[in-house]
Amino acid sequence: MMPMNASSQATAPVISLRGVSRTFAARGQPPFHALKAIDLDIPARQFVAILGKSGSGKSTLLNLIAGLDRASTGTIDCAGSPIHGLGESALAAWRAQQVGIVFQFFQLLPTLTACENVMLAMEYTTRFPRPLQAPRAMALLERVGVADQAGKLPHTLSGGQQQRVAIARALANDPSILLADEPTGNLDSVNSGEIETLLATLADEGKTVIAVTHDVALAGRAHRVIRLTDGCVSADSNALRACA
Amino acid sequence: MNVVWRKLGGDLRAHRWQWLAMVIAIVLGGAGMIGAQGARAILEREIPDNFERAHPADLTFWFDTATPAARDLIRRAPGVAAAELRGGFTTRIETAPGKWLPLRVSMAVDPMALAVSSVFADSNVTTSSRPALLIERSGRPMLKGRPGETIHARTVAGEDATLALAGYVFDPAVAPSTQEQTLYGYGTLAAAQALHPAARFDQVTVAMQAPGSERDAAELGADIRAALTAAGLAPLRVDSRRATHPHDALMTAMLRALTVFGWMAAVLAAALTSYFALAWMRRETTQVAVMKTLGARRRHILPLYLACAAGVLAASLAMALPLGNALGLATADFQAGYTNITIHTRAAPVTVALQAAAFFAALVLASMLLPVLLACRRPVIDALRGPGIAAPSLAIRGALRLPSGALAVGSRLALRNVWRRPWRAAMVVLAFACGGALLLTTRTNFDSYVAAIDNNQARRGHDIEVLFAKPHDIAALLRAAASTPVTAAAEVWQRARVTMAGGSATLAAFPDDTRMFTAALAQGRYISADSGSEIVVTRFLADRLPLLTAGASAELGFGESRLPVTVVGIVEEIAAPVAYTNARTFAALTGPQPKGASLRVRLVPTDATGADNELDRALMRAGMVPAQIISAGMVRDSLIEHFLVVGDAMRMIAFAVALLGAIALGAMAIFNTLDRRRELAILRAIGAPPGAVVRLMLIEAGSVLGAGLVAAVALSLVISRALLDAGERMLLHIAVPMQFSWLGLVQLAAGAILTFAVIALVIALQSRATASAGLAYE
Repeated sequence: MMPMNASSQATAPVISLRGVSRTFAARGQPPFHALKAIDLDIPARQFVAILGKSGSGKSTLLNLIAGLDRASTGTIDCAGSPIHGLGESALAAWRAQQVGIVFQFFQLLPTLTACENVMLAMEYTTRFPRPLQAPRAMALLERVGVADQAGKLPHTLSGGQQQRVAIARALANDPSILLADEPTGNLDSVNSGEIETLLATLADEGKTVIAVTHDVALAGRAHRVIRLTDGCVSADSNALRACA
Repeated sequence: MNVVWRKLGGDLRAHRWQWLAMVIAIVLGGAGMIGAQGARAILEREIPDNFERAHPADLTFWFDTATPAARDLIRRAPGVAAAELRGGFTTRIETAPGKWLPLRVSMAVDPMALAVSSVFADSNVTTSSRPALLIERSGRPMLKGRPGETIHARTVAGEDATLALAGYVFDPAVAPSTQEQTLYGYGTLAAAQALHPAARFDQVTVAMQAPGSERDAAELGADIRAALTAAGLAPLRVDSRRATHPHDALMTAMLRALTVFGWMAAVLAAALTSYFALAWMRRETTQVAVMKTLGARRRHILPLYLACAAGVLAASLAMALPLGNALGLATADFQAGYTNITIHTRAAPVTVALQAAAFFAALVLASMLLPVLLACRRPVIDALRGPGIAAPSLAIRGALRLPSGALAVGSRLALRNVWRRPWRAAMVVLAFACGGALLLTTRTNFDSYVAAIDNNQARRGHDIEVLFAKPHDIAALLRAAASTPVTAAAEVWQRARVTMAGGSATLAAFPDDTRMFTAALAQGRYISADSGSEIVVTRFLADRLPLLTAGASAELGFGESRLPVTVVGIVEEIAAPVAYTNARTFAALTGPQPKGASLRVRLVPTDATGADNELDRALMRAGMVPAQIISAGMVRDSLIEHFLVVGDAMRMIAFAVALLGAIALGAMAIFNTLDRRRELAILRAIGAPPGAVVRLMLIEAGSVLGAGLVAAVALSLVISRALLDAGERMLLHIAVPMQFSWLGLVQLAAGAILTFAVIALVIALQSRATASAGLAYE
């Protein structure tokens, strides 16, 4: 685990969860409690790794922070917005401006080129007018080291290249929060190392990075490690919280 | 149960709606195919059967007065099965207050016991102390009377007369009254004399023992004619019939339309099934790969899915067969009403249904087999790869080379996604295009035919043509015509039935100073004013007697007289198999006579309503009873009624096909949103609002709809032209320029907008799922 600098630690939480639960109910089956009354504060510019076994609630937690799913109970404040109270359209607008998401399977759109995949994210905000989108997308691809692949369709790229493009897409609108769901889960060790470095660099440059991972190496580069067990925070390198 | 089959059973349960949609497509398509082929088989059998059951006259001998002696002599001739006295005249019947239509009265010794040109009871037949007429049943919707009620008619002298409606009969040998705008009446000589006191039998109708070709009949007619002449009973003329129904061409067109329907239904159902199978196998691809990694080989996997497809097909066909059979019967009944036939055996041959089902099953199975084979052949490594990195189609890769210009990335994404699965998109476009094309074609063809009729009518130098059974004095006819205020100009033309080029036809001769011979010239030239041996023929006659080409020589025959002539031109007139010549040539053939059997009248250019009625009464008052009055409006109404026979069938087909196309498009949109749930969730994850996702899907659906519309228009132009060409050859025998139906396009666009609205609603509802649920979708 990498140490955080003093200024980072002093920053007010950019993500704050209070009493957040998520329960899935299937017809004819007992409800499944994926998350149980989670309280969590994550300050700005922190690189957080969330660890846990399969089914421990890691991805559910990430989805809630990203506003992709709704908590059954509790409140979530992210980047100054109480996202638990936002409607679908408002959530989408908020997400477009404040959050970038990186997936395990990259999830690039197969019919758009690498550059267009990055530009697409800018379509959903007014932050970057259309003439600026292509140059910015190229700059981001340059930043993640795949500018030479800009005109190619995703299926022609390697896994590492695809994940770099996905990171560039996540950075398209210059979000304050970067969420990564198993970002190295589908990559070899060389590419995994490069992606870990990239995420760590982004955190150092001021992004709040939250990565759900099984990868110990990635967790080792994080400022903070949170371990989830059966929907509860079982360990937090900042402060250990007991399961309610 | 084997675990593999349990997997399939589970899949069937899990995706039951998709399977149900596939079953519906197969059942509807199969029923359409089996029904259309069944209806065609029934009608193909029943139409000629109806015609033959009436024992239509092979020969008709015309006399001034046909006597029992002449009938008996004909009856005794070798080769004659039956001979009967008949007579006929035309008068008028009131079908609604103030609406008078021609009534062709046919007289016989006993109309209900005819051995030649028989009619059959179609209602209870009442007896009455008053003169009574039987009416042909296709006139029932126009007359609306019940047996025993009074019918209002006119005597041939134009006076009002009342008779009893004895009942309705079915005459299989006449075209329906609704199409001909003429009612047919049957009665005894005594009953007919209530309308025509001087009526008498003037024909002997003959049924041959072994009906053959028209030539056989003509030869027998010549022999009998010679015998009659030798006995001092010489007939005026002898007609030999064509061995087909008067509406043979129309009925053939209708049967072809049914065949088209069958094919369209089969192809559409196959396309739709293939679409569903593609969606099914796309879902199964990964599972196939997993089975392969577990050691399964193609011979394990293929039979599994094929058995599943075959099971669904068999179950669907089991439903389609009875449904198709019922549909075929209903269609045959519907068409029987239009064509005025009676279906005696209400069953299609079993082999027809089985052949149609077998063909359809093979087509559908092949359409299901292709996606299964593709899925089974896919390399394991490709199939196991995570979603989102599959190579897009060649079409997409090609599209990358096209300039995307100012298009936003979102729009580029939507447009490329349209062709992401090109086969699926092509099938939907094909389905929608076929339906749309047929809808447009029906409209375009109807408009084109009506325009061609109107143009042809407008060219005519006359508004009304009055035909007489027997020639009348030319001066008397002109006087009668001039006695009505509706007549602006009148001409008397001569007509005679003559033989030529191996057949027979009407020869019409115009007066020397004619201003009413205005038929459009298609080939050659018009007749020289001073010629004595030239004719022009209508395209209809040239089509019927192929020896009559422009520049050809022919010999005209009238009784014993023969005249060599030259066909100098081909003219275009609607549905008129006529040869035209001048009075000099006519006289050279028939001998000089100051009589004519046709009166052509140009009306005063004011309100022409009732002009035909007024002319009719004037001629009746003058003792010259018209056999037929042909007004421009009547020709138009009658032809339009003819088009409706095929047009209604076509519209039905088009509607069904367009509906299938719309269903296919809706299904595609729904499956797109289901199939791409994860991809749509990604869009939501990177900030796309729900509206943007819905918009993306709508652009895709709209693009397919637009492509379908364009294809429909293009296809309709091709089909329309082909059908118009067939209509030219078989029905109108005049050039029919295409009049594209903008109204049809508006209707089609309205249908497309409605489809689009339904799709929009469905997509909006489907897009309500949370993004995380979409991301979790496998």
